[in-house]
Amino acid sequence: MLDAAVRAILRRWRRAVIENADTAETYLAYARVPFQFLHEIMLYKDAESFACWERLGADPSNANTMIHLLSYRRGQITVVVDEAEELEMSVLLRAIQASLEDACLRMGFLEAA
Amino acid sequence: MRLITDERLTAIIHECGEDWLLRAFGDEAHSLGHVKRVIEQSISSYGHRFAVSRIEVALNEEGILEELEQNQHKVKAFLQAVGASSSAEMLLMVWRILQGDAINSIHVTYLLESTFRIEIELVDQQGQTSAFTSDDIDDAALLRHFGIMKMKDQPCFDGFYAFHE
Repeated sequence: MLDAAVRAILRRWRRAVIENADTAETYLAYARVPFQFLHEIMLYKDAESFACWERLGADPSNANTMIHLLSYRRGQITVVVDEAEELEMSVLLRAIQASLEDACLRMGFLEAA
Repeated sequence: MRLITDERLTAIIHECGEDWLLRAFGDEAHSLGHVKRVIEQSISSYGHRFAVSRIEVALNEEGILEELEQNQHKVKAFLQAVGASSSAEMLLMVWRILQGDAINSIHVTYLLESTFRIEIELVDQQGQTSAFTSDDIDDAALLRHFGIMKMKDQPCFDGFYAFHE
């Protein structure tokens, strides 16, 4: 499920930086993300956004340049963003929801998002 | 030296919950032989067509074992593809999607009891495209595994997922 959500985000944020939220390890590319071991992932819009978050943290200037995904229960994902109604973010959230609904159907149950 | 022996392949299939593969092509020995042959052909084709890169996990014995460790759901999806298709080219396509390639286009030509052809173009993270084709309608079964979503209300196939993960 995390995999599907990450892919949906990457379709829009093609240069996103993917970070293990527990260890702060970043991955070279989607293919190098060990989803098996991850419960929380942060995706930064690009390297510049990642650097800004490193420098300023949750500063208003960094709004909607990072998405936090949490998955601790099979079939459920929590998505944390700053402003869900903002146009770009609402597009992303709809894509994530659609990809999760599709993944749930494939997995044989539906209790998505 | 082979990393994936018959015993190891049987264990991988079992670990991924895809035991049906060991009965899908005759008795267990024949089924295992078929699965092994198809995977070996795919590995060989991958080596001829794609360079090893730091960005993706290559389709080879080491790569399969690496993914088994880190992303078992991808190996499960790949094994389901092996059960559906004997085409090395189609299985390369599946592996590339599992490694992050986007599905750029799909063209299907179909005429009842006459013609089937599918052409799938992928694009990798560097923008390089690669095309995969098949004339075997059995390979249409692979389309069922494509993730489906809309991006800004526009159609988007993305990802290759196992059933009953």
